[in-house]
Amino acid sequence: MVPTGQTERVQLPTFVRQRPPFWPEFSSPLRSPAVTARVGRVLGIAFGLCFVTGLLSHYQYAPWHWLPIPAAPYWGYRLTQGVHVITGISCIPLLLLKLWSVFHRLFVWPPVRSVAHSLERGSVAILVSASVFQLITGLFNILQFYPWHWGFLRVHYWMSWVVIGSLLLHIAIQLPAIREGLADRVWRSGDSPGPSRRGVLIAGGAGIAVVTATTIGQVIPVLQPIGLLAARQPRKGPQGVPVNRTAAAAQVVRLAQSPQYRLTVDGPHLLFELKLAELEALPISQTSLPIACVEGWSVQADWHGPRLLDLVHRVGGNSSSKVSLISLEHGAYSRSSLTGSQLEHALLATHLNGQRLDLDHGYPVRLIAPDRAGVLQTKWITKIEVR
Amino acid sequence: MAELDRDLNHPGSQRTLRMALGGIGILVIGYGVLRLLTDAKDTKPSELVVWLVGSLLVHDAIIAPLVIGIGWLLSRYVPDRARAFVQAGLVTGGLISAIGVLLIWRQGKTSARSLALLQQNYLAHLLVLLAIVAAGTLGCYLIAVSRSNRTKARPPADQ
Repeated sequence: MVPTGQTERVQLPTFVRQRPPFWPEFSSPLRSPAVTARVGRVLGIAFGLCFVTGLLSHYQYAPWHWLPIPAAPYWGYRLTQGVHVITGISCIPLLLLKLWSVFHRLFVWPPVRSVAHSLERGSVAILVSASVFQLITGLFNILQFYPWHWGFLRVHYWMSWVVIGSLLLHIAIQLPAIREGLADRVWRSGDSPGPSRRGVLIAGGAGIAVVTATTIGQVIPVLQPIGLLAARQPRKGPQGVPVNRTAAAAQVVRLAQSPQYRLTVDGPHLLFELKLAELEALPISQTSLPIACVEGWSVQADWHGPRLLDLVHRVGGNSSSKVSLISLEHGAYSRSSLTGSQLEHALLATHLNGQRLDLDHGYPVRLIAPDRAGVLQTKWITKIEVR
Repeated sequence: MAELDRDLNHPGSQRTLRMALGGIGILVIGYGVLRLLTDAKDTKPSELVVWLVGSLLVHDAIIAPLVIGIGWLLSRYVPDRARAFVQAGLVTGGLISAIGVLLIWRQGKTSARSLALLQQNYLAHLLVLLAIVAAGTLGCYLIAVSRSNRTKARPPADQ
């Protein structure tokens, strides 16, 4: 892992030691460990943030039974997933800047000096490949663009371990160079009037800042007007909230509006069915909670509807029951479960922002609970199981 | 902090730290790869490998040579001081465009309006942002030129 030392002293044959004339050689005074280490430090922190917030998001899908997702802070998922996606998008220009600063090293001669050197270069190849892949496919997911056959969720999750592992390995290998680079000054008084290292950092920083500022509007509504590069504009959705899956895409348009619609509540002591009119006649509560999507957008909204816990009590359950909500739709997100404090604060929403819930938002009734990923706020609910 | 720094400066402890970090890194990579392989039905490793190699090549064989080619042309044909600003403008604009072109490419390709997804005119927005960058760069260049003219006009301080 430590490639210097004895291996360097091994005498290679002359024709290997000398760079052949066809081999590209370029250098720029702008590329220096001082710049690379500074950009790398920011990128490393950003990758760490993405990894931790990604783990938190993953936990939403499969929490341990003894550690359910808490209801407070109600904006928790909104914050962590907003950070995950905005940081991830900003990492794309950041990574380009970082890779530019070391591109000349791709053409070192000889390409491989020793076994240790070949391993070092291999680890860089894994890091670069996994990082570019992770950021670009992550962005494609936000754009709902899937030009591949593998499952995004699992690949993105397992690949994040490869990225963070190869980052740790890279830091281990480069630590002396990183420390040297950070100790070196970026600005030098003797610089020529041409491009300077400081200029590169300022220009790169400006580019990254513009990307962040023009995409963050999908998380912070106040900044939506300057969200020139934001993929989503949350306020433009029906009733002021976007959807990720329409009723048509979920193939529930007919079922959700059918006169035969029933909401079944199945508990340990009782099973009963509610017709639409009976569901709408239940006593209702009001709450203000965000819809926060795994794709990073989020928006706060007003919700009205019966409290889920009231129905759970009626069939003999309580707040420590495991409650599953089953949708009219089939597929990956056709059911979700909750318990504990999330259950205590959950509503069966029939109204959104003062209007009867839109079909695309889950008419006739959907779940809304605090600190919960959007895909788990089950829509078009037809059955509630209390165990 | 100073103590940590002193400890780290000690070659022995830095070596231990690097060994530990590297060891953890290799284990974590191994864990990720193992799970990608055991989950093969969902992760489709043979297609995934093509994507990973492709990701490396998109950067190393397309983006990077392009950027270096542009840099080389600039260094040949544009004088130093102007080049500093042209290059800075291109770096800022290029990084913004990296996100912008992907949005332009996918614009209008989503199924339903209620997604509120990709419904902006990203080409127009990118052009606005690039115009702002160009104007800012030009402004900085003009300030630099007028400043150095003023300095030249004055007699040097040491005479």
